[in-house]
Amino acid sequence: MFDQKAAVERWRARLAETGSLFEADLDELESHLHDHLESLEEVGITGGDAFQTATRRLGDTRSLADEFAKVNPLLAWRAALFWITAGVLLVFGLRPVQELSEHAVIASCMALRLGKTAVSIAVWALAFASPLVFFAVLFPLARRRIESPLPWARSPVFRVGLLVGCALLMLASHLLLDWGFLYAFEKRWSVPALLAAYDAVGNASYALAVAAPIFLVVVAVRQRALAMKNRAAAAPLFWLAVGIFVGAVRCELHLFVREAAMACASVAKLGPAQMNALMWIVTLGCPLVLFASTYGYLRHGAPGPSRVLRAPFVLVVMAASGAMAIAAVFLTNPIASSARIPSAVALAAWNAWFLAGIVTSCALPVIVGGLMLRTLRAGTLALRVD
Amino acid sequence: MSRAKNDAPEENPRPIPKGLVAASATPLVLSILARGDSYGYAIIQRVRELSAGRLEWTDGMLYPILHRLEEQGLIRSFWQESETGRKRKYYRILDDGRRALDEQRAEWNAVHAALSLAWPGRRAGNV
Repeated sequence: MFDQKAAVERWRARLAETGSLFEADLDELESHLHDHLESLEEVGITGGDAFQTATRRLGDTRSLADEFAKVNPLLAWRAALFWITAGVLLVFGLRPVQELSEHAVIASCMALRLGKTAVSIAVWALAFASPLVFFAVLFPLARRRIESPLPWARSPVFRVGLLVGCALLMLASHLLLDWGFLYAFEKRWSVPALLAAYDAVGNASYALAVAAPIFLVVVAVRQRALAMKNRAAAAPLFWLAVGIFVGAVRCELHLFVREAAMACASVAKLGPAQMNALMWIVTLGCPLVLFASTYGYLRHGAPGPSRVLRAPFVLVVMAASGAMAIAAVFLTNPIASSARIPSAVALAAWNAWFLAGIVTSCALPVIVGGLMLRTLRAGTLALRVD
Repeated sequence: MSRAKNDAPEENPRPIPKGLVAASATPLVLSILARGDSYGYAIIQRVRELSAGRLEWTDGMLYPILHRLEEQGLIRSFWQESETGRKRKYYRILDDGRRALDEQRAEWNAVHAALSLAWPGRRAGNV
């Protein structure tokens, strides 16, 4: 005996799995299926035959999902967005960890009274080894979750822990590094040796800032090629690489924008109050513009993620922004040293920079995390248009 | 892929190509809704009747079209219980939809008029 109810449920579950349809879409298609089954029953066709005919007429799962993806762009982007935001959040969260561990390495070297060369080697090793270890752990972990990237991320403990953890880390890094509390603590060791160690940190971070975009573009190109070769429906590792890339490039461009704003202020001879306002606008405005434009693009007229993946322009955009970030690494310092601003204005700038930095430290994980959770939940949202 | 049965021997039973089906979908849906509220399954049945089975739609593809028209503000949808007690999503044409339909009708008439004049066997000005 053919169990029609169970068959309809299975068919609906398969469609739901594609992630491109809202609950209301599924309701509507199911209602259509019942309409068709009823009319087939009237002419004496029932059971498995009727079900086969009706579902074939509705269209196969893949092409239905593709068509619905065009009208539900944000929903179709759910999985890709999850991995992109995960990548961005990882960079935001782990960069302070990297910075703080650099200081831990310096402190240990000082305590052990190691020579300059040993300190440099330790700092350089940490700078390059930690991202490589991170990739070696992260990618296999993510690959195992290809089929279902979401279950562990649904746990409330995980969500809250991730967001609060990121915010606290960034706050700690602002207070300890930018406000110099750590330096005040480290000063009890010999200052010249400390400055030499900081030099090594600075050089290593320049090298890393140049290497990271190139490395990440190569990773993305490779993941894209793999996804296209396997004809995979989703390419989580590609989008994860894109997210990490965005996070890394953002850090460089952010510093560049700050120094450029300072240079502009010096040319325009801004007063302290104006400088203060400019810094707030720059610090809060850049991420907001980035979010608004991404959201707008995805909401209106973006093709589905698999189409974007296949389009070569993604790689062109990545290469261009990577080149910009690398250029920024070399331009930031000359621009900074060219700025001639009175100390009162500089103080206003730094204060605004720190305070706005703390605001963004707290707000960014909330915004990025909120977006991530929204895209997660969208799959189960029952949007009814009653 | 089901094909229309060759009921009328003098007619070519070949289904109409995809491009034409897609191009005519919006004006057909709007015209059907202009005659009264309707729901997906009934709209598809009506299209089959009107085209004597030659306009073959994959049923599921109608819904993205309806949703796009709704997003454009040409139609609106509402859930309502059918005679059998099941909930169905009905669509109603809006004023903007009627205006869009008028425009599309003028365009299709222009295409039709041009083709009528151009078909071999007829001379220009002798329709």
